[in-house]
Amino acid sequence: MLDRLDETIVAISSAPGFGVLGIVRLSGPKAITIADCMAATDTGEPLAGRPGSTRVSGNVQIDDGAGLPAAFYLFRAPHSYTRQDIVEIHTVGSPAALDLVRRKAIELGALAAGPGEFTARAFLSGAMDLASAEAVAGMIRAQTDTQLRASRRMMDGTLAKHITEVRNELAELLALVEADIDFAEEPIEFITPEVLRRRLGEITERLQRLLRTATSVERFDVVPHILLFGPPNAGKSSLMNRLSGTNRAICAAASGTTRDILSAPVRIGRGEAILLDTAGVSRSEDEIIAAARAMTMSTAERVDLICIVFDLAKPDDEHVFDTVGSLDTGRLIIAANKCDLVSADQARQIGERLRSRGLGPVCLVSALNGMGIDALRNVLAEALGSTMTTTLGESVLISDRQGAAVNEASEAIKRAACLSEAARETIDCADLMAFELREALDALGSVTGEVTTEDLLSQVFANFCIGK
Amino acid sequence: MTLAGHYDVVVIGGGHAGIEAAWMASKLGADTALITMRYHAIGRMSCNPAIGGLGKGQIVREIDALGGLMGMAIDRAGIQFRMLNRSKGPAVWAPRAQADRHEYPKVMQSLLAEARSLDIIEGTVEAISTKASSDSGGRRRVCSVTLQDGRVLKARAIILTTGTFLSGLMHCGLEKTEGGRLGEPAAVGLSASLRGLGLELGRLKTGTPPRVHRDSIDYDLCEIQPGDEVPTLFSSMTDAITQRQINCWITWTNDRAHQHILANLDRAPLYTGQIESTGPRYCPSIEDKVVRFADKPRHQIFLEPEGYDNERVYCNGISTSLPKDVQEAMVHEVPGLRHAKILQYGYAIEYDFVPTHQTKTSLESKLVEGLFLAGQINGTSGYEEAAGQGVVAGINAVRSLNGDEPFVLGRDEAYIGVMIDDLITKPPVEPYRMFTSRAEYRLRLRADNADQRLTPIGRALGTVDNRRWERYQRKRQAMAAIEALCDPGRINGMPLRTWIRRPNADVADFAAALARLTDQTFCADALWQVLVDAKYSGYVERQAQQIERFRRLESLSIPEHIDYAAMPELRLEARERLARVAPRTLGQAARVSGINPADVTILWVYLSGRRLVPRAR
Repeated sequence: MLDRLDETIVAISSAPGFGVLGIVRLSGPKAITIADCMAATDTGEPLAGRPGSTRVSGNVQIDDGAGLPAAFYLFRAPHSYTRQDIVEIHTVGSPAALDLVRRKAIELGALAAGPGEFTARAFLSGAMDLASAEAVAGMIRAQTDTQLRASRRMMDGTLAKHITEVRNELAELLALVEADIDFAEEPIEFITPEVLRRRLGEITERLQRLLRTATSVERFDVVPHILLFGPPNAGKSSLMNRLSGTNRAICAAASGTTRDILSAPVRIGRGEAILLDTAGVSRSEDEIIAAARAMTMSTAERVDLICIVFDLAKPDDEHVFDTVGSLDTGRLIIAANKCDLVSADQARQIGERLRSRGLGPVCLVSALNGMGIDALRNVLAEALGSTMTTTLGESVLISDRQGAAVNEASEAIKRAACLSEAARETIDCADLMAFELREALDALGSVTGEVTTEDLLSQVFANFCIGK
Repeated sequence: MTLAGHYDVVVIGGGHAGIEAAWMASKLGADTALITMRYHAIGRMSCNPAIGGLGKGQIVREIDALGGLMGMAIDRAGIQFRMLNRSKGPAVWAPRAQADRHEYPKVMQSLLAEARSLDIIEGTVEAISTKASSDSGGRRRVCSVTLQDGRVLKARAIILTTGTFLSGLMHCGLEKTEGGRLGEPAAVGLSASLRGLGLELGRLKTGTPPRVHRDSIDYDLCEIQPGDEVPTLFSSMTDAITQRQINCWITWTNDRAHQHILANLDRAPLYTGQIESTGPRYCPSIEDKVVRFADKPRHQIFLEPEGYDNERVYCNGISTSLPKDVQEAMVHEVPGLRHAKILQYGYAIEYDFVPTHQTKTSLESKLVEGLFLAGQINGTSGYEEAAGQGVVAGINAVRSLNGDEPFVLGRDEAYIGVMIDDLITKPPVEPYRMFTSRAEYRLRLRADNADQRLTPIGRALGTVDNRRWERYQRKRQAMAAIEALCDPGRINGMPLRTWIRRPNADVADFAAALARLTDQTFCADALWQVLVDAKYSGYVERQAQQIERFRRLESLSIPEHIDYAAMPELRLEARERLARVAPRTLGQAARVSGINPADVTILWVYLSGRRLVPRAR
């Protein structure tokens, strides 16, 4: 972390998961340049022309044409928290939206910040007293531990298995190439160029496959996701609380309480799923609400299952089904909520009408008193059944940082393979090959832990009779 | 007790570390004494009569570039020169030479005789005396050494280079003999003296193979190994190697030889528990090889003549501590050695060393001021490793007396830097040997550019004399002239710089191409340097980026008496390890085993609180 102070780093710096507004923060010499590549300011002027400590409103472009309303807070070095140029992008608070902004910044050359990295930078040039140093040290420790726990959880998973295997394979190859250099006097053929080529090819193939099939952990989990979708005030948050048994979503009688995507784990059948609660789909003047709604729509296209929540007492809201029709989506479940507010006959009638639309199974429920909730759970479990096994079985979770590391490793291995292309009898550019393989190993080491020269040497001494 | 002299620096031991240390100290103007048991044993080769090899050859070139002696000595006393690893890239080429075992020490002694302020004193050091240090830390400072015969030498600084002599114990079968080398006594009293100073001692082991009579070998049954047609020089002070080159020979052990070994393991000190200390994994004894690699039907033996007029041939590859009768039986099974007459049996030797958590990067003891350590006493193995440390210890002993900052070579500057940093951050538990894979910046730390890397540093330190400096300057000028021709120059329509990057471009080619552009002629050394630099361009730039990242942490120094216990956010393990190693820069702290990046960040934050000062070079 300390060895890249002149790089520009980026992170989501608002508390995860909550809040109407979220913040993506950039720090470093290219902070303003990168922000300018993403910013469409209201005045059309670039941020670069503005003085420090100013607020500029506009849109943040996250994809071709797509933008979110945003405010850019510009702090120029040294008058900023890190004493470097900082741009804070304040925009829609949904984790998915913030993640897109962050990714865009990474695409433009920023590096994902490590735990405590902003704080660490904050002390680069400043003299500070011991007391504040202690406070900062404690904070970094805490952030590191949190991240460590999170990554350990992830490391129990499939990614760890894949990367560890590749890393061990790579370490073995590097040890053999190194042995070929350092023990040139030994009458041992450590590895033939042909075998080296083949094994490097296999590793590259494996890493590429991993990158192709991996699921980004920043965006989604391997656990299946169910999106609650429906008009405002249909009771999505209440239903979420009921299903998850928590009070995660704030429910209010006022329409449009939920403006960013909330999530909560729920037990479905024998497994677990993540329930996503979204802003209601309605027409609204409020720009940020409109943007949140757009997020809901784009999220809907990426979840495993959509549960449409419909207020039985508000037949007018049936326009939601038109919206659903426009989605390119998988399976649908309809939860007809608030059946406690209508008579049993009415409920049955509306239920029939909904079924006749042929969109999917219909459950009559009451989030308020729990009626029909178990039946809904069963229907969700059945619908998810196949999804859950396939998702869990094949998908590999990967974070941006890990993805970048895997990619870097893969590129270095490709270069190493290129070097060995011409080799026939001996590995003639073993020194360059070792350089590339070491780079690849260091990159993977940032995911699974470092491999030291001592480790490599031990491997050689254990497997070969070295020494005269 | 007689006072036999006052010295600035007293070097204890006339081995490869002691020689370079004494040479450097006297070169820097210090009144220096080198104490050795026997004058004629100075520079003696205890083990195989060869200098250089992978990683080691690079160190010799570095010693030379800094103004040391080893390169010049081997250039004069070498009897067979070979560049190892020629089939690989030049970054890992390594010069190696067989030495004439009798000639090498003589050359060394004559080179040392040129030193201006050096007394060589025969004797055995019995004790080191200290006095209260003037600094308030309560530490002791060296003041004198006492010899066995009662003579006392006053010393402002002392460099310990005891090799295998410190309480040396030799094993040959079940026979145990005290001694530092075959036929030479050990230094026993000194161990107790060091313990008395509070130093913790450890024990290591190494071994040596039998030597046979050259006329008793049947060479027809061996494979010939000639030297290079054109020998590569170790020293940039040498113009050419003119002495005749001899051949070495290769043969192999076989199953019958292995059977003798396996049948007698109950008399092998390595397996009876008689030897308890750790030997090097990269240089196992033949019994160890046969036991651990039971599936290997044979092991290689290099038969290396010990000199032009020397009847001894060194059997490189079968170092052993087996009893004499087993050595006889085993050797006589080997093709070519059926009638071999063993002139000296192999033996193992155990000796005391000072584990390096007690030593600073300057090679000064953390505990005793003015006490420097170099060579095997620091847990290394090999003449070259020892000599490299001798250079650094010699320079730093004088610098400490002058109140100058210690001379520390970075991992990005020299193999010597890599070695000392490894010793300090990861104290060895087996004899430490250099490998090129230990150097992260290997593409930069090449044998060919050692002078480019280090001679200017040596000049600034005062260890590079005018003659060496002039030769260096001439090479620089030639390189600049060649470079200037390279850029506009074209050959066969191709830019010259691109043309010389072809895989098989050589000096002769290059010289011929340049001859079409200029009347000037250039020395092969400069041509080769430009050629290799061109070959690695691109890679060297990438490596330079790595080095720059590395240097950022390296430039942040840690105060000597920092209190890790007062940093509760550091993990307990991290606090303990850092306190034990006492790294001098943040980068070094990061390399201490068991220290993770978060520990480094936290340490850094604490240091920021104390107004970090960048390390002065």
